[in-house]
Amino acid sequence: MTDRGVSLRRAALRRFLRRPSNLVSVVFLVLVVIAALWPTSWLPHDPTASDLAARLRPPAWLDGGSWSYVLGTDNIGRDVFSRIVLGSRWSLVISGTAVVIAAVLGITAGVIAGYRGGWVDSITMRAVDVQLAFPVIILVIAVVGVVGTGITQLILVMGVTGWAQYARIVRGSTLSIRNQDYVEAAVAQGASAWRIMTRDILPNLASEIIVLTSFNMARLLLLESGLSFLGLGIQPPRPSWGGMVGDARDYLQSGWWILAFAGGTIALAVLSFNFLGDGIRDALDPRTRHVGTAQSAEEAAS
Amino acid sequence: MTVVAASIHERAAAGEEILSVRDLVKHYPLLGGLLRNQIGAVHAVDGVSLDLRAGETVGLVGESGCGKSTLGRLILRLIEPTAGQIIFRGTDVTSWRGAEVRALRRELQIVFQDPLGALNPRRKVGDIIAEPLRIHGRYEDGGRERVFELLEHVGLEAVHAGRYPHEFSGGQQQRIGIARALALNPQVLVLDEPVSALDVSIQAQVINLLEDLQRDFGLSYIFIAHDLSVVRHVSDRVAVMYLGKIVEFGDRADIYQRPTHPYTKALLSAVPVPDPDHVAAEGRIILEGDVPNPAHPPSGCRFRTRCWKAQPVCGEQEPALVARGHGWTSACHFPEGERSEDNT
Repeated sequence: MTDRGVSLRRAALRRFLRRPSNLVSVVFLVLVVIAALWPTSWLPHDPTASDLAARLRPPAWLDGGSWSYVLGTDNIGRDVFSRIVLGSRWSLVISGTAVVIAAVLGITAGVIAGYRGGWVDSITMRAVDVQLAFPVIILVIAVVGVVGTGITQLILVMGVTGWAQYARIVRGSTLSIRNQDYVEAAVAQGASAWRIMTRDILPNLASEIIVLTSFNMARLLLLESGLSFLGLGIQPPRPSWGGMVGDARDYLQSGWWILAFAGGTIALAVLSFNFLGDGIRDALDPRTRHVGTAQSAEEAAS
Repeated sequence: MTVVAASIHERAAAGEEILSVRDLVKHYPLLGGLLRNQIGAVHAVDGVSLDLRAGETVGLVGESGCGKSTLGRLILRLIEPTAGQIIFRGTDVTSWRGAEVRALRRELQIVFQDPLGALNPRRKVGDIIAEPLRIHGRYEDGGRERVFELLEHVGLEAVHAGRYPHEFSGGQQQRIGIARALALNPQVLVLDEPVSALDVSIQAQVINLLEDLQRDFGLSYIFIAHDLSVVRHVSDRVAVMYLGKIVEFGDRADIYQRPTHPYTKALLSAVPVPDPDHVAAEGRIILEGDVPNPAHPPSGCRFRTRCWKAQPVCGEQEPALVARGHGWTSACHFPEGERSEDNT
């Protein structure tokens, strides 16, 4: 009986690992994170150094490729592989920080709106509607126009505008938790609204917030890539995935691999975060699973 | 503890009123139309008066949706009454706010129907029971010991404090809920169908526990239920509710043996009786139709739409609560047995 909490968690982990897409996503994301955090000295080439003698080299396994440049070189002879590795650092740091800001703002707004209800809820939800209807890219262009490009303003704009996704979902869950008997029990004991929100509601939102964060990482990573592609995000010479795709547009004929590998990395990372979110949600909440229910229920019981 | 209990027992012997409600009303507005005007109201509780004496149990029975749980929550000030008064130990607490309500919460507590739903799944049992102590600043001073003591009072062990609610059986979960309700030494417990979600064998254990606790701590209970045999077992007095109103209120023996309101009689006839001859002799009354919509209660007597004795007067005049005996009232123009004439 004492181990049941632990075994429930273990059962959820087992459910998560059973799906191959989950496993692949986790492995890929772990690699990306390691690449982002590891010092760049191990890279075969300086990601920003150009070598005009080695322009537009194809990947190693094609004619004219060399193992020195595994994924080829770009139009000014920079190593594509090294640039993708270093690009992960800035992409992850920017989207990650922005997600944290968005989560803090959105969860706060969502819990208060859902618990308080009434006009507080109405105003918050109308603000969410406005936020979701407003194109973030336009806002970024405006901000960049006023204060110029920079990582700080990029993080702030992406984070502050990202609150609405969190607020909407968190508010919905808060509404259903608010009607649970244990919340009424807390009121009956004399607990303050703050106490109920932090001790009864927030902890019960934990799994939902983890899932939301994974999806929002995917969303903001894509947004950051889009902004860098447009030249509004990370500025050269710093490498970024979106920026690489942007630069590669002009060399589709002579150097398709630049776009293919940079774009492929973005797609894989976004896909992995989405799979991760799906996988965690299904593993934590067995009711949403579609297949193998009887078998898994049996395993969970054992 | 024993000193407190003794004084409460004395008050109980004197029949002292600990809690009473006067003409309590709760209407939920129905909004509609373009401007969301109020177009009506659901009459959840519609003029209920009730009193609870120290150390006794008042059973509150009625069908689903008759307003008995709403009444319980009104008494606890969990929802605001539309009209009426709640009087606790001689003081009108209806208009109390903020810190005053918080102080009231130490005296009035609640036990819920769904034992698991009333416990936060993310917190350990020890923390759940300690929560009222923490809220009222009583944890620092021996709170840990108090939690263990409470677990013992409800038949659990100190080791259970480190576990999560889902690790327990339904009966044990309800014991945890009871321990939490007792943490602040309240005087009144509202028991909102405390055993109806439990197995029959477990029901008896929890009811025995509640009776032991009542004796040891001099508690007063408002016992909300739809199971009439359980209510008969635990209650000193019984109030029967129909569609937001009390139709009959009196001592258990009077209500169960000589019901005067047709609705009470119908409810009692539906209770399974172990003796088949008894049923054959009395006959089972099957009520026709459904409970009317509480947004549009019938005129006059609310029970007339389903009553086999209804006369034109029942639709014109609402029957008042009339004394049928000592401390025994019912609201009917044509009471069973015509006992009112015998006694008055």
